[in-house]
Amino acid sequence: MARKPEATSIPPDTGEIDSDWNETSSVLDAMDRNSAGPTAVPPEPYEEYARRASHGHYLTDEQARRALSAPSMPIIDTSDVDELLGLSTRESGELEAPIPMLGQQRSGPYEIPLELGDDGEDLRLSERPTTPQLEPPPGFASTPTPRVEPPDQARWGDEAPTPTVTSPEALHALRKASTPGRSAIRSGAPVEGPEISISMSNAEDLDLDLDEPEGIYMEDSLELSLDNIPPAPFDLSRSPADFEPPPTRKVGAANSLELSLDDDGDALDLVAARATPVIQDPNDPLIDLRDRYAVGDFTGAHEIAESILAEDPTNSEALRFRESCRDVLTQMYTARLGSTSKVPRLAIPAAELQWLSLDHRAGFLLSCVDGRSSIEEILDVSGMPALDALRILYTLLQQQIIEVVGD
Amino acid sequence: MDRVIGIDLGTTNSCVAIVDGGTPTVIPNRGGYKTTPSMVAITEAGKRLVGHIAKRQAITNAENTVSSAKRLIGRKWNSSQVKNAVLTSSYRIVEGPHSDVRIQLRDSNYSVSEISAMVLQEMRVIAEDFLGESVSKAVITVPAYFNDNQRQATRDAGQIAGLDVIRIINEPTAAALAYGFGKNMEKLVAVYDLGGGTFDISILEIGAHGVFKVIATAGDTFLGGEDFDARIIDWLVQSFKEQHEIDLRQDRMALQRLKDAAEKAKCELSSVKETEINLPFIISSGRNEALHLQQTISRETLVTLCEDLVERTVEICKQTLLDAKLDKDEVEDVILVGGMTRMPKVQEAVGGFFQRDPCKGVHPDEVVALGAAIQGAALVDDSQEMILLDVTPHALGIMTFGSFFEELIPQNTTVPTARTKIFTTSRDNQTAVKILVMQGENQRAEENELLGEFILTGLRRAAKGQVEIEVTFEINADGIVSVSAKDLETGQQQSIQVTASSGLTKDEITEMIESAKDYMMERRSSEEFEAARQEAETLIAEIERLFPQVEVVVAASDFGREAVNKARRILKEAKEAIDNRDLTAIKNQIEALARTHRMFKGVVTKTQ
Repeated sequence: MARKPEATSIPPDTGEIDSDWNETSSVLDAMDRNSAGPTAVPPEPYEEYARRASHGHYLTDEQARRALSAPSMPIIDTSDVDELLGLSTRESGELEAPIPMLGQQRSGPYEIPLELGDDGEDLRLSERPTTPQLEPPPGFASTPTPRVEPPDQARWGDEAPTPTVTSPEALHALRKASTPGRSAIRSGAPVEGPEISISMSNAEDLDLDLDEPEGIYMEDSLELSLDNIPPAPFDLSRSPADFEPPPTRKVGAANSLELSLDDDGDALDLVAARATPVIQDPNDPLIDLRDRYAVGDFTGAHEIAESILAEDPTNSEALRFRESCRDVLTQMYTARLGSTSKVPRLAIPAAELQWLSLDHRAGFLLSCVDGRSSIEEILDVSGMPALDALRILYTLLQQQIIEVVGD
Repeated sequence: MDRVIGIDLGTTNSCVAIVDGGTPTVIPNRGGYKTTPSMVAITEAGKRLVGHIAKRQAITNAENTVSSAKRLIGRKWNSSQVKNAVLTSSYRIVEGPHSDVRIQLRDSNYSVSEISAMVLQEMRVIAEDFLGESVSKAVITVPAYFNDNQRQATRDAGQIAGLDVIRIINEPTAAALAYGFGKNMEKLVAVYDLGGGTFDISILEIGAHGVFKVIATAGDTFLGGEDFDARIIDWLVQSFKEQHEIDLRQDRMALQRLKDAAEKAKCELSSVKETEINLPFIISSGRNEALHLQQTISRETLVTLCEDLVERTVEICKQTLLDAKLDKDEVEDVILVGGMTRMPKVQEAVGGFFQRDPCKGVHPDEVVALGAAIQGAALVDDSQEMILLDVTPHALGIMTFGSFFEELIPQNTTVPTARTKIFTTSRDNQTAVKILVMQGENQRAEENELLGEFILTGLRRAAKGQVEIEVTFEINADGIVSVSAKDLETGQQQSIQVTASSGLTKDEITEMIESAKDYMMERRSSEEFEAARQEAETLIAEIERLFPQVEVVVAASDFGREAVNKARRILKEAKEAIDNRDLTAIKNQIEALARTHRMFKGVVTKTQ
């Protein structure tokens, strides 16, 4: 269901990523201020922006890691762009100082609605702590922020909407803003159309490889992509009075925010509202599967994967998890049994076997244990999946029904 | 002088032998068994299993396990035997590109010769491991009733397995060779061969100076030890069903165990009067409770269950003697071949029919392979005096008007031989005649095997029955059949040399040979790796066991720390080499490990 825009909605501080958003928004706010547009948050003075922009603002590795690991938090990995910008700056010599993050959220009516995690706390821009970092950490520019890959990137991409794109126009504008003597913004002069309005056909002029969006993505519900650069999403030369209230974008059935910069959408499609979090069905076995896999419960994860596949044999994620679990478990059981070339033999008299509590599969494998056949041969003749046979043999070994001797 | 192995390529079991120092000897396989099941399987992981290991998983992996491939070798897709096999086999039989038979295992199709080649390759490996040298020459045995195509297919199988098949001989002939080896005798003997899947009876004449002549042969290709096992399984399944109302046949694992247990019990009952079949946790009941199978079976029960099967063999013996126009009194000795002939009831039935105790001087499982080895040794050693007079297993002839089969060379004719017969035209003004060369015993030509065809043209125009055509069949000592047709008036002549075909082209055979070579190389390399890995792991375990003691010694002195560190490094590198499956690195590390082990052992010994 579409949500009504909230003028006061400002994303909480989720770390440096958000501060980057605010840095960009401050530039845009400056423009808005000049045009006296409606703002709910006091616009940041340009001097403040310029001071912060000239100091630069980088994510430390730890900060990036924290940001990336935040659950169900819209994560924007900025490292690649930062790096890219740094390189561009150095190579082109256009910029004196590293440029902060692109695509930052504007305050006021043009806020990009972001749904943040439960633990996020709304902060006004002015309240946000800033920790200017004069020098980037050594090697930062060449070390991309580690990216946590979801188990199935392709599928996740399919599931999550691709909502927003950081506009290279904004980048261009920022460059101009931060280049002495070039920007009208810097001098406080009214923004003129040709100076700030950016045509996307110039995207390549920025010397940015916009086809490499790696490291920029939003987990679960929000994803940033630079793949598909849309036409100019907004014209900064327009007066605030020209702005129509941003159209409300319908929130999908999955309650996920979908921001797309495809041809049929632009910046004015943005909704000034908090996105509704993707509410996953707590009974979805895939969640349990992922969780168990993540904590190393491969047996449990394998069982769940099997149960999912029993109902939906084509579930690609369950298939992948099952294969992965099988590989890990096979290695584990093999390691516990020793080498597969070792020979198992009965550790108790055959007459005592029938007093044990075993199932017929264990009974069958026991019948293959003749003191001559190796584990590998028993696996071959069992006709069972290797994992099942190994598990049973390991159980028999644990119960001291069999023992494993040398090759 | 090259060594020649003799291979009994059986329907259910195969055996390899060699003449070593003048004594024929059977070569045991790695498991110590002297016979190896003629079974091939491909596991889920794509691994090839041959022999006992294939047999042990035959039921749990039934659709990918080939047994009794010999019943299909050299046969055409449209033959009745193949049609029957398609219906009864657990594995998938499909039509090949040349109307031949292919077997589908997992995702690949194999020719029957290829499957047999896998068994032959295994026998070759057994011999090479035993002798410690490469073996390339072999004599392979085939049933006496095999036609030329089947013999050629067996020869092809040997070739694919990398063997130079210097002779194909009949199984009863081989048995008689082993029986008569070293004895100068003149006898008429019967070879009663009841194997795992087939039954054969042959009458042979053993002449002076090593002359062996097959007088008659017959058999049943679907009668053997497996039928006896099946009867025991039926009995066990029935008893269990009555007790627990559960059909064990529904569970493959249970059935596999039943089959193994039935065969074991059958063998035991040849020496004891009663045996117990004990299969704990054979199946789980509906209440998730594991059930055991415990049953005692006596020899009498087995006889009752299988009496009709034994009787069938006796009936075939009777018929064979009739065909050979021999009286059973004329048979001077009966040689028993095949594991099933150990069964007291079988011995009793054979003795009763021939009215004499069967010969017990030969080993029933090994005698055929021994005979093949004897023949192989004689072929490469000129000093040995032996003449084998073989016979044509099937009649040879041509198709005539009305689709009848006109026999020229009768069955069991000693080769070499030549026969001629005059034919005439069936139409007025007929100028050409088609000669269809066939092999078989059926009067209807289409029921027999077509060996080749040719056309004789340029006949004189005349009323039907006026032109005479002379057809001549000739089989030389190597078994090659030539057929010629001649217009007696004009002298016009055409001929054909019949070459048997296994259904495989030369290119296909070459490709299969290469593939078999690759497999062998991979196998040998894998075996080498396993041996090196085992050696390295043993040394690693031993060094790690000594490490704490050595560390204590080193800690108490100022010396040796560097050596300990070095040992740690060697252990680490050796483990890495094993993990990486790097054979060369493992071999290099073995030397360092052995040195370290010696050093550690020395330190520990000195300080004790």
